[in-house]
Amino acid sequence: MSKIKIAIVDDEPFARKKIVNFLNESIDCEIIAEYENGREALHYLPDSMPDVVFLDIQMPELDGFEVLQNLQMTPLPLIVFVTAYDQYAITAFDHHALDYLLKPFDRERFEKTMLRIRETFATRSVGKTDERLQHLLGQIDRQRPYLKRLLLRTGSDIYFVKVEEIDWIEAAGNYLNLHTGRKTHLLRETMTNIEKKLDPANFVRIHRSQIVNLDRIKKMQSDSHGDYEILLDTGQRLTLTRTYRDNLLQRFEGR
Amino acid sequence: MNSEKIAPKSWWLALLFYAGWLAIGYGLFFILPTSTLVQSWQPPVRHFILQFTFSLYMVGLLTPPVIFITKILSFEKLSWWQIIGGHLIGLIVFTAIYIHALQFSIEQFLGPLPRGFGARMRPPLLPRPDNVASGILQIRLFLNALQHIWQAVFYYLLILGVGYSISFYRKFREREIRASQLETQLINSQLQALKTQLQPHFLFNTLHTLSSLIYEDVPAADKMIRQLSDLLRLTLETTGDQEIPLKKEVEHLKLYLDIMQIRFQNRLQVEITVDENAKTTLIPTLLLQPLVENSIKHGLEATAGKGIVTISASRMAEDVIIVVEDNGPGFTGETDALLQKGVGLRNTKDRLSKLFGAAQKMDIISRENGGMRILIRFPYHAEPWMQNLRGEK
Repeated sequence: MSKIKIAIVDDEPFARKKIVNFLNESIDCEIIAEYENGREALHYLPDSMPDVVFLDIQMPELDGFEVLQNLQMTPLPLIVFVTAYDQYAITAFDHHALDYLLKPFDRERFEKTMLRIRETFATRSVGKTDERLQHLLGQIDRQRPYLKRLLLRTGSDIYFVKVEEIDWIEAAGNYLNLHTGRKTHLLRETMTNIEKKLDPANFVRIHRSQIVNLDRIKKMQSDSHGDYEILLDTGQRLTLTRTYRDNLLQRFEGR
Repeated sequence: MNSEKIAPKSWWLALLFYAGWLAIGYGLFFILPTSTLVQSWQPPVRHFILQFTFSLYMVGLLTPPVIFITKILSFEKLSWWQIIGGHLIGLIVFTAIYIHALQFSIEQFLGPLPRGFGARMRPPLLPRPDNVASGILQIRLFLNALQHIWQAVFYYLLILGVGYSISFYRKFREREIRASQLETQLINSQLQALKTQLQPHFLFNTLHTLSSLIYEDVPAADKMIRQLSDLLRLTLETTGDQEIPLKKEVEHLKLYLDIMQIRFQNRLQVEITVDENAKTTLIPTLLLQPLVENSIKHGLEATAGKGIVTISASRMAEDVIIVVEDNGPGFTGETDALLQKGVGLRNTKDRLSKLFGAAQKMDIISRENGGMRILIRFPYHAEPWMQNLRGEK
């Protein structure tokens, strides 16, 4: 019988060590990887292909949920959430019958989780939890409607762009150009999708293929056709077409 | 300091009251001499009433300038000799205006004061060269004029007393309000510190580290329990002192930082340097706590390698300079927006400016190569600063 491959994702060394210690004596498990932040996990998990991931929720930069949302793996490994305190998440786990560990946990509690994991593998019912996990992620997606940062990939590299750093967004085929100061980032996403994910208090569509960050607008000038020319802090000039004019003006009046 | 902020309405009220009073005065000025009632009075009574009305009116007109003088000649800025000298000049000018204006306005209605006017009744005014006759009359007129000078002096001192009383009362109220605001902010800081340290994330994660450490290193776990207890005890023990020695504040910080260091091991590096000659200064209690917590949070978000948080305190001439730095992602946008978001940062800034006024400075800078630097500067003081305030202002 092959061993259950386990990965641990937690930003605190002693939290990882505890799980390592507890698993030391179990002969049917093997720890194949430890990651100390969400970015590392996201980057290496598809390669290490563990069966089970102990995933800390509260991590700086990229939290446990964000890792799952962006993880490109099918099927997903079995996830055991680990958290110190997150009332909302715990309610969600209970609701979707997903396993989680509350910090601090002791050996007894940990063994209970391990028992459940072994059962799942014995009965080969990993796929079921996959479905429940998707439901959870869907719910979390709805609860956190607006993105704070965008995750970008170049080759195998993963990096972030904070949405507040974006000056404006421009559609280019299947991709979007995110303009941040002098840099431009490429993101594979559609205009309609990104518009939904960004906070409408800050980002407004001004054109079929353009979204602007309201904080960057310095000046607006109407021309004879009823269009507006928008001048950004960066010096960039954009055109606000009539179709989207009311859309933008309402935002300013509503503020 | 900022009396407008504290009592913006009382100014308008005072102005309105005064304007109304002057309007009534103007009314009397025009109605009184021609009214049949006044005309029917006996001349001595008529003169007396006219004089009394006009003199009160003069006092009313001259009150704002005198109050203004008391503001200029404030006890905070000038020496006793300068104040007395200033008021002597003020008094002479006041008396001259009072007497001449009074004489002028009475003459408008009674015509030039006749000779012998003073012989029959109390002559209200200075002798004029053309109606001075015999020596005896001259002396009597002089004495009467003297009486008006005394009147002017009396009025001047009265207004002066009122002016100083108002400003003393206002200073007193201001200080009371400031003290109570400082108190509130101290409590805010204590609450903030309590919140962070009793925050479930901090507490449960720390306990979790402990629960893991027990298996690894019993003495180290033992020590960590002691550190956590000391930290909680210090934070719960709210002494209510506005200020504590920097040395103590740093010890308190160290407990927190040591725990974070154990939790995050080599992901976090903390450097504290406190110059010997800065250690003895007093610092608002728990002032640095939120700043350091902020920096730790940012430092742990540092994308490459480990988070580095540097805390340093030094003396520069009469000032103490404290710098808290991290190598996190820094911030984009305006400092104001940052202060809006961070309750801890705002509270720190408010407390500093309430306590030290213009003598302090707090800068938040986004460093060139990422990270944030918070610079605080305030006067070195080994005695509580509030005592300073009481003594000087």
